[in-house]
Amino acid sequence: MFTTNKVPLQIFAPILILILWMIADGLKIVNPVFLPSLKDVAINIINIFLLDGFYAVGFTLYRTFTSLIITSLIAIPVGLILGLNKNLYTSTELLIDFFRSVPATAFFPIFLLFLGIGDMAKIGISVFVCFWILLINTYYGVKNIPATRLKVAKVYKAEGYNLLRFVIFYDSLPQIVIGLRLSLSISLIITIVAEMFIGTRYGLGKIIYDSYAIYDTAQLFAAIFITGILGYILNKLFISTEKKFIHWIGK
Amino acid sequence: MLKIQSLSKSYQNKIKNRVFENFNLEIENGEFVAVFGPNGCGKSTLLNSIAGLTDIDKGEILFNNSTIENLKIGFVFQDYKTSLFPWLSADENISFPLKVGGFNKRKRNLIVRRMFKKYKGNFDLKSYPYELSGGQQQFVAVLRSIVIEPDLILLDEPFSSLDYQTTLLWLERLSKIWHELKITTLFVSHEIDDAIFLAQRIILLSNKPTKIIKIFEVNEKYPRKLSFMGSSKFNSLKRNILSLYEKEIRKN
Repeated sequence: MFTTNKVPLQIFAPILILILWMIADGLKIVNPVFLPSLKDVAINIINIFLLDGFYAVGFTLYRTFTSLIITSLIAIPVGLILGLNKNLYTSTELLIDFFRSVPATAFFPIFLLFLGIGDMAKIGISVFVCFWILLINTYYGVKNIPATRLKVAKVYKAEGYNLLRFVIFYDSLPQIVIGLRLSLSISLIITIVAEMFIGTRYGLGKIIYDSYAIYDTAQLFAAIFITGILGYILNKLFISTEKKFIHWIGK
Repeated sequence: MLKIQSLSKSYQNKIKNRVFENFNLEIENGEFVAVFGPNGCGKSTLLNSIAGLTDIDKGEILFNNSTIENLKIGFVFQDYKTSLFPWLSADENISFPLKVGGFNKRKRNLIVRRMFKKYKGNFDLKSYPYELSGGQQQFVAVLRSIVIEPDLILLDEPFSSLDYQTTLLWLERLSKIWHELKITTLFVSHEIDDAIFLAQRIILLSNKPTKIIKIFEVNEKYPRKLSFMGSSKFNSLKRNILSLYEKEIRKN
Protein backbone atom coordinates (compact mmCIF):
# COMPACT_ATOMS: atom_id res chain seq x y z
CA MET A 1 0.00 0.00 0.00
CA PHE A 2 2.79 2.44 0.88
CA THR A 3 6.07 2.75 -0.92
CA THR A 4 9.14 3.02 1.28
CA ASN A 5 10.26 6.44 0.17
CA LYS A 6 6.82 7.91 0.91
CA VAL A 7 6.52 6.66 4.47
CA PRO A 8 8.32 9.56 6.19
CA LEU A 9 5.96 12.13 4.63
CA GLN A 10 2.83 10.17 5.37
CA ILE A 11 3.53 9.71 9.06
CA PHE A 12 4.72 13.30 9.50
CA ALA A 13 1.43 14.80 10.72
CA PRO A 14 0.47 11.92 13.08
CA ILE A 15 3.92 12.03 14.70
CA LEU A 16 3.73 15.80 15.06
CA ILE A 17 0.41 15.48 16.87
CA LEU A 18 1.82 12.83 19.19
CA ILE A 19 4.85 15.03 19.98
CA LEU A 20 2.65 18.05 20.72
CA TRP A 21 0.48 15.84 22.89
CA MET A 22 3.49 14.59 24.86
CA ILE A 23 4.79 18.15 25.29
CA ALA A 24 1.42 19.36 26.59
CA ASP A 25 1.32 16.35 28.86
CA GLY A 26 4.87 16.79 30.19
CA LEU A 27 4.40 20.50 30.90
CA LYS A 28 1.01 19.82 32.53
CA ILE A 29 -0.63 22.67 30.60
CA VAL A 30 -3.93 20.87 30.13
CA ASN A 31 -6.06 19.32 32.83
CA PRO A 32 -5.82 15.50 32.39
CA VAL A 33 -9.64 15.29 32.58
CA PHE A 34 -9.66 16.97 29.16
CA LEU A 35 -6.43 15.56 27.78
CA PRO A 36 -5.22 12.34 29.41
CA SER A 37 -1.60 11.31 29.06
CA LEU A 38 -0.53 9.26 26.05
CA LYS A 39 0.54 6.46 28.37
CA ASP A 40 -2.88 6.26 30.06
CA VAL A 41 -4.59 6.09 26.68
CA ALA A 42 -2.26 3.31 25.57
CA ILE A 43 -2.91 1.37 28.77
CA ASN A 44 -6.64 1.82 28.28
CA ILE A 45 -6.46 0.50 24.72
CA ILE A 46 -4.87 -2.66 26.07
CA ASN A 47 -7.39 -2.82 28.92
CA ILE A 48 -10.32 -2.51 26.55
CA PHE A 49 -9.08 -5.51 24.59
CA LEU A 50 -8.36 -7.44 27.80
CA LEU A 51 -11.95 -6.84 28.88
CA ASP A 52 -14.62 -7.06 26.16
CA GLY A 53 -12.90 -5.09 23.37
CA PHE A 54 -12.98 -7.91 20.84
CA TYR A 55 -16.70 -8.43 21.44
CA ALA A 56 -17.25 -4.71 21.04
CA VAL A 57 -15.38 -4.57 17.74
CA GLY A 58 -17.09 -7.76 16.61
CA PHE A 59 -20.60 -6.55 17.34
CA THR A 60 -19.97 -3.14 15.82
CA LEU A 61 -18.66 -4.83 12.68
CA TYR A 62 -21.58 -7.26 12.66
CA ARG A 63 -24.12 -4.42 12.77
CA THR A 64 -22.23 -2.36 10.18
CA PHE A 65 -21.94 -5.20 7.69
CA THR A 66 -25.40 -6.64 8.23
CA SER A 67 -26.78 -3.19 7.40
CA LEU A 68 -24.56 -2.94 4.35
CA ILE A 69 -25.60 -6.34 3.02
CA ILE A 70 -29.32 -5.74 3.56
CA THR A 71 -28.99 -2.29 1.98
CA SER A 72 -27.25 -3.76 -1.09
CA LEU A 73 -29.87 -6.45 -1.54
CA ILE A 74 -32.63 -3.84 -1.68
CA ALA A 75 -31.04 -0.67 -3.06
CA ILE A 76 -29.11 -2.11 -6.04
CA PRO A 77 -32.07 -3.88 -7.71
CA VAL A 78 -34.38 -0.92 -7.04
CA GLY A 79 -31.75 1.51 -8.37
CA LEU A 80 -31.32 -0.54 -11.55
CA ILE A 81 -35.08 -0.63 -12.10
CA LEU A 82 -35.43 3.12 -11.54
CA GLY A 83 -32.51 3.78 -13.87
CA LEU A 84 -34.22 1.80 -16.62
CA ASN A 85 -37.66 3.28 -16.16
CA LYS A 86 -37.82 7.02 -16.58
CA ASN A 87 -41.45 7.36 -15.52
CA LEU A 88 -40.91 5.36 -12.36
CA TYR A 89 -37.95 7.55 -11.44
CA THR A 90 -39.76 10.79 -12.17
CA SER A 91 -42.67 9.76 -9.99
CA THR A 92 -40.44 8.80 -7.05
CA GLU A 93 -37.74 11.46 -7.40
CA LEU A 94 -39.30 13.88 -4.92
CA LEU A 95 -39.67 11.19 -2.27
CA ILE A 96 -36.09 9.99 -2.72
CA ASP A 97 -34.70 13.51 -2.55
CA PHE A 98 -36.70 14.21 0.57
CA PHE A 99 -35.63 11.11 2.48
CA ARG A 100 -31.97 11.45 1.64
CA SER A 101 -32.06 15.07 2.76
CA VAL A 102 -33.40 14.37 6.26
CA PRO A 103 -30.49 14.13 8.75
CA ALA A 104 -30.11 10.46 9.64
CA THR A 105 -30.33 10.94 13.38
CA ALA A 106 -33.79 12.50 13.07
CA PHE A 107 -35.13 9.02 12.29
CA PHE A 108 -33.89 7.48 15.55
CA PRO A 109 -37.08 7.96 17.58
CA ILE A 110 -39.27 6.50 14.84
CA PHE A 111 -37.15 3.38 14.58
CA LEU A 112 -37.07 3.02 18.37
CA LEU A 113 -40.84 3.29 18.37
CA PHE A 114 -41.31 0.61 15.74
CA LEU A 115 -38.40 -1.75 16.29
CA GLY A 116 -37.59 -1.41 19.97
CA ILE A 117 -34.07 -0.98 21.35
CA GLY A 118 -32.41 -4.15 20.10
CA ASP A 119 -30.22 -4.79 17.09
CA MET A 120 -33.26 -4.59 14.81
CA ALA A 121 -33.57 -0.87 15.45
CA LYS A 122 -29.84 -0.17 15.09
CA ILE A 123 -29.53 -2.10 11.85
CA GLY A 124 -32.88 -0.78 10.63
CA ILE A 125 -31.81 2.85 10.94
CA SER A 126 -28.52 2.16 9.21
CA VAL A 127 -30.22 0.33 6.36
CA PHE A 128 -32.75 3.12 5.98
CA VAL A 129 -30.09 5.83 5.79
CA CYS A 130 -27.71 3.94 3.49
CA PHE A 131 -30.55 2.81 1.22
CA TRP A 132 -31.04 6.26 -0.31
CA ILE A 133 -27.34 6.78 -0.86
CA LEU A 134 -26.82 3.46 -2.62
CA LEU A 135 -30.08 3.86 -4.53
CA ILE A 136 -29.10 7.24 -5.96
CA ASN A 137 -25.63 6.02 -6.91
CA THR A 138 -26.97 2.91 -8.62
CA TYR A 139 -29.49 5.06 -10.48
CA TYR A 140 -26.80 7.45 -11.72
CA GLY A 141 -24.67 4.49 -12.68
CA VAL A 142 -27.40 3.30 -15.05
CA LYS A 143 -28.12 6.82 -16.32
CA ASN A 144 -24.49 7.46 -17.27
CA ILE A 145 -24.02 4.38 -19.42
CA PRO A 146 -22.57 5.55 -22.77
CA ALA A 147 -25.17 5.50 -25.56
CA THR A 148 -22.81 3.59 -27.87
CA ARG A 149 -22.62 0.69 -25.43
CA LEU A 150 -26.38 0.37 -25.34
CA LYS A 151 -26.43 0.43 -29.14
CA VAL A 152 -23.85 -2.36 -29.25
CA ALA A 153 -25.95 -4.36 -26.82
CA LYS A 154 -29.04 -3.81 -28.96
CA VAL A 155 -27.34 -4.67 -32.25
CA TYR A 156 -26.17 -7.96 -30.77
CA LYS A 157 -29.68 -8.65 -29.44
CA ALA A 158 -29.04 -8.37 -25.71
CA GLU A 159 -32.49 -7.65 -24.33
CA GLY A 160 -34.32 -7.84 -21.01
CA TYR A 161 -32.52 -9.92 -18.42
CA ASN A 162 -29.47 -10.47 -20.66
CA LEU A 163 -29.13 -6.72 -21.17
CA LEU A 164 -29.35 -6.21 -17.42
CA ARG A 165 -26.82 -8.84 -16.35
CA PHE A 166 -24.36 -8.60 -19.25
CA VAL A 167 -24.24 -4.86 -19.81
CA ILE A 168 -26.19 -2.59 -17.49
CA PHE A 169 -25.02 -4.16 -14.25
CA TYR A 170 -21.33 -3.95 -15.18
CA ASP A 171 -21.59 -0.51 -16.68
CA SER A 172 -23.16 0.88 -13.53
CA LEU A 173 -20.86 -1.12 -11.22
CA PRO A 174 -18.24 1.65 -10.75
CA GLN A 175 -20.93 4.03 -9.50
CA ILE A 176 -22.51 1.28 -7.38
CA VAL A 177 -19.13 0.70 -5.76
CA ILE A 178 -18.87 4.42 -4.95
CA GLY A 179 -22.29 4.14 -3.31
CA LEU A 180 -21.15 1.09 -1.36
CA ARG A 181 -18.04 2.83 -0.11
CA LEU A 182 -20.09 5.81 1.08
CA SER A 183 -22.62 3.45 2.65
CA LEU A 184 -19.88 1.57 4.50
CA SER A 185 -18.61 4.77 6.14
CA ILE A 186 -22.09 5.96 6.97
CA SER A 187 -23.19 2.57 8.21
CA LEU A 188 -20.28 2.58 10.67
CA ILE A 189 -21.17 6.09 11.82
CA ILE A 190 -24.84 5.23 12.35
CA THR A 191 -23.93 2.00 14.15
CA ILE A 192 -21.62 3.83 16.57
CA VAL A 193 -24.18 6.57 17.20
CA ALA A 194 -26.94 4.01 17.69
CA GLU A 195 -24.79 2.06 20.14
CA MET A 196 -24.10 5.28 22.03
CA PHE A 197 -27.64 6.50 22.33
CA ILE A 198 -29.79 3.41 22.16
CA GLY A 199 -27.41 1.35 24.24
CA THR A 200 -26.31 -2.25 23.87
CA ARG A 201 -24.35 -4.91 25.72
CA TYR A 202 -21.35 -4.91 23.40
CA GLY A 203 -20.24 -2.25 20.94
CA LEU A 204 -17.61 0.45 20.46
CA GLY A 205 -20.31 3.12 20.73
CA LYS A 206 -21.26 1.79 24.12
CA ILE A 207 -17.66 1.95 25.42
CA ILE A 208 -17.42 5.54 24.17
CA TYR A 209 -20.65 6.55 25.89
CA ASP A 210 -19.91 4.72 29.14
CA SER A 211 -16.47 6.32 29.37
CA TYR A 212 -18.06 9.70 28.93
CA ALA A 213 -20.73 8.99 31.54
CA ILE A 214 -18.11 8.24 34.21
CA TYR A 215 -15.67 10.94 33.03
CA ASP A 216 -12.99 8.36 32.19
CA THR A 217 -11.30 10.45 29.49
CA ALA A 218 -8.37 8.10 29.01
CA GLN A 219 -10.74 5.25 28.19
CA LEU A 220 -12.83 7.58 26.02
CA PHE A 221 -9.77 8.51 23.97
CA ALA A 222 -8.78 4.86 23.76
CA ALA A 223 -12.22 3.85 22.45
CA ILE A 224 -12.23 6.71 19.92
CA PHE A 225 -8.79 5.63 18.74
CA ILE A 226 -9.91 2.02 18.27
CA THR A 227 -12.99 3.18 16.37
CA GLY A 228 -10.88 5.44 14.16
CA ILE A 229 -8.45 2.65 13.33
CA LEU A 230 -11.37 0.35 12.54
CA GLY A 231 -12.86 2.90 10.14
CA TYR A 232 -9.48 3.47 8.52
CA ILE A 233 -8.83 -0.25 8.00
CA LEU A 234 -12.32 -0.81 6.57
CA ASN A 235 -11.85 2.02 4.12
CA LYS A 236 -8.41 0.84 3.00
CA LEU A 237 -9.60 -2.76 2.63
CA PHE A 238 -12.54 -1.60 0.58
CA ILE A 239 -10.41 0.49 -1.77
CA SER A 240 -7.91 -2.30 -2.33
CA THR A 241 -10.63 -4.84 -3.15
CA GLU A 242 -12.64 -2.47 -5.33
CA LYS A 243 -9.65 -2.13 -7.66
CA LYS A 244 -10.01 -5.82 -8.46
CA PHE A 245 -13.74 -5.60 -9.11
CA ILE A 246 -13.68 -2.50 -11.28
CA HIS A 247 -10.19 -2.87 -12.73
CA TRP A 248 -11.10 -0.97 -15.89
CA ILE A 249 -11.81 2.34 -14.19
CA GLY A 250 -9.41 5.19 -14.90
CA LYS A 251 -7.66 3.34 -17.71
CA MET B 1 -30.78 -7.85 -51.33
CA LEU B 2 -30.96 -4.94 -48.90
CA LYS B 3 -33.77 -2.71 -50.04
CA ILE B 4 -34.49 0.71 -48.58
CA GLN B 5 -37.80 1.98 -49.89
CA SER B 6 -39.12 5.53 -49.57
CA LEU B 7 -37.39 6.07 -46.25
CA SER B 8 -38.41 9.26 -44.46
CA LYS B 9 -36.85 10.43 -41.24
CA SER B 10 -36.78 13.81 -39.56
CA TYR B 11 -35.59 15.06 -36.22
CA GLN B 12 -37.67 17.54 -34.32
CA ASN B 13 -35.50 20.14 -32.68
CA LYS B 14 -36.48 23.80 -32.62
CA ILE B 15 -37.08 23.50 -36.31
CA LYS B 16 -38.02 20.36 -38.15
CA ASN B 17 -34.89 18.79 -39.55
CA ARG B 18 -35.65 16.57 -42.56
CA VAL B 19 -32.86 14.08 -43.02
CA PHE B 20 -34.47 11.68 -45.48
CA GLU B 21 -37.48 12.14 -47.67
CA ASN B 22 -38.46 9.26 -49.92
CA PHE B 23 -34.95 7.88 -49.95
CA ASN B 24 -34.34 4.68 -51.91
CA LEU B 25 -31.31 2.43 -52.00
CA GLU B 26 -30.62 -1.13 -53.09
CA ILE B 27 -27.61 -3.23 -52.24
CA GLU B 28 -27.02 -6.66 -53.74
CA ASN B 29 -26.14 -9.63 -51.55
CA GLY B 30 -22.42 -9.94 -51.04
CA GLU B 31 -21.75 -6.40 -52.21
CA PHE B 32 -19.44 -3.89 -50.50
CA VAL B 33 -20.97 -0.43 -50.74
CA ALA B 34 -19.54 2.80 -49.37
CA VAL B 35 -21.62 5.85 -48.56
CA PHE B 36 -19.95 9.21 -48.90
CA GLY B 37 -21.40 12.67 -48.47
CA PRO B 38 -21.40 16.07 -46.76
CA ASN B 39 -21.41 16.39 -42.98
CA GLY B 40 -24.79 15.82 -41.42
CA CYS B 41 -26.30 14.27 -44.54
CA GLY B 42 -27.60 11.39 -42.45
CA LYS B 43 -24.98 8.73 -43.08
CA SER B 44 -25.07 7.56 -39.49
CA THR B 45 -28.84 7.85 -39.38
CA LEU B 46 -28.97 5.53 -42.37
CA LEU B 47 -26.87 2.89 -40.61
CA ASN B 48 -28.78 3.27 -37.35
CA SER B 49 -32.08 2.86 -39.19
CA ILE B 50 -30.91 -0.31 -40.91
CA ALA B 51 -29.64 -1.69 -37.59
CA GLY B 52 -32.95 -0.89 -35.91
CA LEU B 53 -31.31 1.56 -33.52
CA THR B 54 -33.37 4.49 -34.78
CA ASP B 55 -37.07 4.43 -35.57
CA ILE B 56 -37.93 5.61 -39.04
CA ASP B 57 -40.92 7.82 -39.78
CA LYS B 58 -41.98 6.23 -43.05
CA GLY B 59 -40.80 3.67 -45.53
CA GLU B 60 -39.48 0.16 -45.42
CA ILE B 61 -36.15 -1.53 -44.92
CA LEU B 62 -36.11 -5.09 -46.23
CA PHE B 63 -33.43 -7.72 -46.47
CA ASN B 64 -34.21 -10.56 -48.86
CA ASN B 65 -37.83 -9.44 -48.70
CA SER B 66 -38.20 -9.78 -44.95
CA THR B 67 -38.05 -7.12 -42.26
CA ILE B 68 -34.85 -6.37 -40.42
CA GLU B 69 -35.96 -7.45 -36.94
CA ASN B 70 -34.48 -10.92 -37.12
CA LEU B 71 -31.55 -9.92 -39.24
CA LYS B 72 -28.10 -10.78 -37.93
CA ILE B 73 -26.11 -7.56 -38.09
CA GLY B 74 -22.48 -6.86 -37.38
CA PHE B 75 -21.85 -3.22 -36.50
CA VAL B 76 -18.47 -1.56 -36.10
CA PHE B 77 -18.71 1.81 -34.42
CA GLN B 78 -16.49 4.79 -34.88
CA ASP B 79 -15.46 4.97 -31.25
CA TYR B 80 -13.90 1.66 -30.25
CA LYS B 81 -13.20 3.01 -26.77
CA THR B 82 -16.86 3.08 -25.82
CA SER B 83 -18.07 0.36 -28.14
CA LEU B 84 -16.02 -2.35 -26.46
CA PHE B 85 -16.99 -3.54 -23.01
CA PRO B 86 -14.11 -2.50 -20.72
CA TRP B 87 -14.87 -5.16 -18.11
CA LEU B 88 -14.52 -7.99 -20.64
CA SER B 89 -11.23 -9.31 -21.99
CA ALA B 90 -10.62 -9.29 -25.76
CA ASP B 91 -11.94 -12.82 -26.30
CA GLU B 92 -15.01 -12.15 -24.15
CA ASN B 93 -15.69 -8.99 -26.13
CA ILE B 94 -15.44 -10.86 -29.42
CA SER B 95 -17.73 -13.62 -28.22
CA PHE B 96 -20.30 -11.29 -26.67
CA PRO B 97 -22.87 -11.82 -29.48
CA LEU B 98 -22.42 -15.60 -29.08
CA LYS B 99 -22.94 -15.37 -25.33
CA VAL B 100 -26.18 -13.47 -25.86
CA GLY B 101 -27.11 -16.11 -28.43
CA GLY B 102 -26.73 -18.83 -25.81
CA PHE B 103 -23.54 -20.57 -26.98
CA ASN B 104 -21.71 -22.30 -24.15
CA LYS B 105 -18.27 -21.23 -23.03
CA ARG B 106 -16.36 -24.06 -24.68
CA LYS B 107 -17.97 -23.43 -28.05
CA ARG B 108 -17.45 -19.69 -27.76
CA ASN B 109 -13.76 -20.13 -27.00
CA LEU B 110 -13.35 -22.50 -29.91
CA ILE B 111 -14.95 -20.13 -32.41
CA VAL B 112 -13.07 -17.07 -31.14
CA ARG B 113 -9.70 -18.78 -31.07
CA ARG B 114 -10.12 -20.22 -34.56
CA MET B 115 -11.16 -16.84 -35.95
CA PHE B 116 -8.40 -14.96 -34.13
CA LYS B 117 -5.81 -17.28 -35.62
CA LYS B 118 -7.34 -17.12 -39.09
CA TYR B 119 -7.15 -13.33 -39.21
CA LYS B 120 -3.68 -13.30 -37.67
CA GLY B 121 -4.41 -11.64 -34.34
CA ASN B 122 -1.10 -10.97 -32.62
CA PHE B 123 -1.90 -10.09 -29.03
CA ASP B 124 -3.02 -11.86 -25.88
CA LEU B 125 -6.74 -12.65 -26.11
CA LYS B 126 -6.97 -12.34 -22.35
CA SER B 127 -5.97 -8.65 -22.47
CA TYR B 128 -8.51 -6.04 -21.56
CA PRO B 129 -9.36 -3.31 -24.09
CA TYR B 130 -7.42 -0.70 -22.11
CA GLU B 131 -4.29 -2.81 -22.50
CA LEU B 132 -4.57 -2.83 -26.31
CA SER B 133 -3.65 -0.23 -28.93
CA GLY B 134 -6.35 1.56 -30.91
CA GLY B 135 -5.83 -0.69 -33.91
CA GLN B 136 -6.00 -3.83 -31.79
CA GLN B 137 -9.18 -2.60 -30.11
CA GLN B 138 -10.80 -1.98 -33.48
CA PHE B 139 -9.66 -5.46 -34.54
CA VAL B 140 -11.56 -6.84 -31.55
CA ALA B 141 -14.61 -4.81 -32.60
CA VAL B 142 -14.36 -6.10 -36.19
CA LEU B 143 -14.05 -9.73 -35.05
CA ARG B 144 -17.03 -9.20 -32.77
CA SER B 145 -19.03 -7.99 -35.74
CA ILE B 146 -18.32 -11.08 -37.87
CA VAL B 147 -18.35 -13.74 -35.15
CA ILE B 148 -22.07 -14.39 -35.59
CA GLU B 149 -21.68 -14.79 -39.37
CA PRO B 150 -23.94 -11.81 -39.96
CA ASP B 151 -26.23 -11.25 -42.92
CA LEU B 152 -25.08 -7.67 -43.09
CA ILE B 153 -22.13 -5.66 -41.81
CA LEU B 154 -22.41 -1.95 -41.05
CA LEU B 155 -19.22 0.06 -40.65
CA ASP B 156 -19.64 3.53 -39.20
CA GLU B 157 -16.40 5.39 -39.87
CA PRO B 158 -14.38 2.60 -38.27
CA PHE B 159 -11.02 4.26 -38.96
CA SER B 160 -11.72 7.80 -37.86
CA SER B 161 -10.23 7.27 -34.40
CA LEU B 162 -7.13 5.53 -35.76
CA ASP B 163 -3.89 7.13 -36.94
CA TYR B 164 -2.95 7.18 -40.63
CA GLN B 165 -0.42 4.35 -40.51
CA THR B 166 -2.82 2.04 -38.65
CA THR B 167 -5.61 2.96 -41.06
CA LEU B 168 -3.55 1.98 -44.11
CA LEU B 169 -2.75 -1.43 -42.67
CA TRP B 170 -6.38 -1.81 -41.71
CA LEU B 171 -7.59 -1.08 -45.22
CA GLU B 172 -5.63 -4.01 -46.64
CA ARG B 173 -6.64 -6.25 -43.81
CA LEU B 174 -10.33 -5.39 -44.08
CA SER B 175 -10.29 -5.89 -47.83
CA LYS B 176 -8.83 -9.36 -47.26
CA ILE B 177 -11.33 -10.28 -44.55
CA TRP B 178 -14.17 -9.13 -46.75
CA HIS B 179 -12.81 -11.00 -49.75
CA GLU B 180 -12.95 -14.23 -47.72
CA LEU B 181 -16.39 -13.64 -46.22
CA LYS B 182 -18.24 -11.81 -49.01
CA ILE B 183 -20.81 -10.50 -46.55
CA THR B 184 -23.02 -7.63 -47.68
CA THR B 185 -21.37 -4.54 -46.25
CA LEU B 186 -22.38 -0.92 -45.95
CA PHE B 187 -19.51 1.38 -45.10
CA VAL B 188 -19.95 4.98 -44.05
CA SER B 189 -16.86 7.11 -44.43
CA HIS B 190 -15.77 10.71 -44.58
CA GLU B 191 -12.44 9.68 -46.11
CA ILE B 192 -12.86 9.25 -49.84
CA ASP B 193 -9.64 7.21 -50.10
CA ASP B 194 -10.97 4.61 -47.67
CA ALA B 195 -14.25 4.42 -49.55
CA ILE B 196 -12.65 3.91 -52.97
CA PHE B 197 -10.12 1.43 -51.64
CA LEU B 198 -12.68 -0.83 -50.01
CA ALA B 199 -15.93 -0.55 -51.94
CA GLN B 200 -17.34 -1.96 -55.16
CA ARG B 201 -19.79 0.90 -55.38
CA ILE B 202 -19.65 4.36 -53.89
CA ILE B 203 -22.85 6.23 -53.25
CA LEU B 204 -22.43 9.99 -53.18
CA LEU B 205 -25.12 11.65 -51.10
CA SER B 206 -26.42 15.21 -51.23
CA ASN B 207 -27.16 17.69 -48.47
CA LYS B 208 -30.39 17.31 -46.53
CA PRO B 209 -33.00 16.19 -47.41
CA THR B 210 -30.65 13.53 -48.61
CA LYS B 211 -30.75 12.15 -52.16
CA ILE B 212 -28.31 10.06 -54.13
CA ILE B 213 -26.27 12.34 -56.39
CA LYS B 214 -24.45 9.62 -58.22
CA ILE B 215 -23.29 6.04 -57.87
CA PHE B 216 -19.72 5.21 -58.82
CA GLU B 217 -18.40 1.74 -59.65
CA VAL B 218 -14.93 0.71 -58.50
CA ASN B 219 -13.68 -2.06 -60.78
CA GLU B 220 -10.75 -3.59 -58.97
CA LYS B 221 -10.45 -7.16 -57.79
CA TYR B 222 -10.08 -8.22 -54.18
CA PRO B 223 -8.09 -8.53 -52.00
CA ARG B 224 -6.87 -5.06 -52.89
CA LYS B 225 -3.31 -3.95 -52.25
CA LEU B 226 -2.21 -0.53 -51.05
CA SER B 227 -0.55 0.09 -54.41
CA PHE B 228 -4.08 0.48 -55.81
CA MET B 229 -4.21 3.83 -54.02
CA GLY B 230 -1.44 5.19 -56.23
CA SER B 231 -2.93 3.99 -59.51
CA SER B 232 -4.34 6.32 -62.14
CA LYS B 233 -7.64 4.43 -62.03
CA PHE B 234 -7.94 5.27 -58.33
CA ASN B 235 -7.04 8.89 -58.82
CA SER B 236 -9.30 9.64 -61.76
CA LEU B 237 -12.21 8.11 -59.85
CA LYS B 238 -11.30 10.19 -56.81
CA ARG B 239 -11.19 13.34 -58.98
CA ASN B 240 -14.64 12.65 -60.41
CA ILE B 241 -16.20 12.03 -57.02
CA LEU B 242 -14.54 15.01 -55.37
CA SER B 243 -15.58 17.46 -58.08
CA LEU B 244 -19.25 16.53 -57.60
CA TYR B 245 -18.77 16.51 -53.84
CA GLU B 246 -17.22 19.97 -53.92
CA LYS B 247 -20.16 21.36 -55.89
CA GLU B 248 -22.51 19.94 -53.28
CA ILE B 249 -20.72 21.30 -50.22
CA ARG B 250 -20.39 24.75 -51.80
CA LYS B 251 -24.18 24.99 -52.02
CA ASN B 252 -24.32 25.69 -48.29
